[in-house]
Amino acid sequence: MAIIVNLDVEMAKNKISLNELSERVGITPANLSILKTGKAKAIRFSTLEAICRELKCQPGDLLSWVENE
Amino acid sequence: MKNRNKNSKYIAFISVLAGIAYLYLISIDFINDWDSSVNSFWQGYNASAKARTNELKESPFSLHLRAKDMQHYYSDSLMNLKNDKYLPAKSQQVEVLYQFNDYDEYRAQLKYNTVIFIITFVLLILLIAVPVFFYKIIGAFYKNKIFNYRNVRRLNILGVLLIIIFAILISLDIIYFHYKKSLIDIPNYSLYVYLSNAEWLFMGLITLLIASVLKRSVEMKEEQDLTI
Repeated sequence: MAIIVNLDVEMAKNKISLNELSERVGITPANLSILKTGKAKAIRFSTLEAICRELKCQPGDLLSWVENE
Repeated sequence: MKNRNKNSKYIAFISVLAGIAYLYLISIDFINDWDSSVNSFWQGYNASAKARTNELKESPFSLHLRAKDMQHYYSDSLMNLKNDKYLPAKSQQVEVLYQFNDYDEYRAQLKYNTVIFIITFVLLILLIAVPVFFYKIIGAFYKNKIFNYRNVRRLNILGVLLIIIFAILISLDIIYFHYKKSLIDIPNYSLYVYLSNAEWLFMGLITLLIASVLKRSVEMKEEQDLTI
């Protein structure tokens, strides 16, 4: 079981850079990069809410589940 | 910041106490049996002098005796000066001076001493390695670098070292017992292995337990650090 983070897709749709999004959301670019590259172990609801608000999307647009082979 | 300084001072204080406790642990038998240690030294010194004159040598042995039946439990007696009566006494641990019958027997003892020397040398290295690893861990704690895999590895090594020390001490007890049994037989008493040093096993197991707890803590910290 794996959770895939589609943050890069949503950022591309909104034509927003990592640094700009990190400023708007209020987290460091390093942490946002961890989230974008799928290295994060967990995400707070407050962070998810802020990202959804800035990218005007649903949590389901950012996260998807795929079965491991 | 103030709290961190207080914590560092506390760690330093505990580590100094632990160092004293370690010195106490490794030297307590030596201090308790001081007269025996001095006697062993002089016996060894005199043996080297006798070797030059080809005299037969003697060696002190510490025996642990168990009465074969209750009739011989109090086989000795000691004078009580308070009431001038004799107190029945049991000889549980006695030190005897064994004189070798011939040079073959003495050569066998030299082989035994060589084995004991090698094992003791390994033991000495381990006894030095234990505080080295301990102070590396304490040093990391003092610098507030607590939750990392390096400390887990150090604690695991420390635990294994303590268990190896226990195993070596037990083997020394058993080897010593079998050697004494091959030379000495006391009527109405049987010799037994005096197994001691269980504290090393306990400390080793506790250290391994702490290492596994620290490992879980490191995993939890990583999880916490990667929560965005």
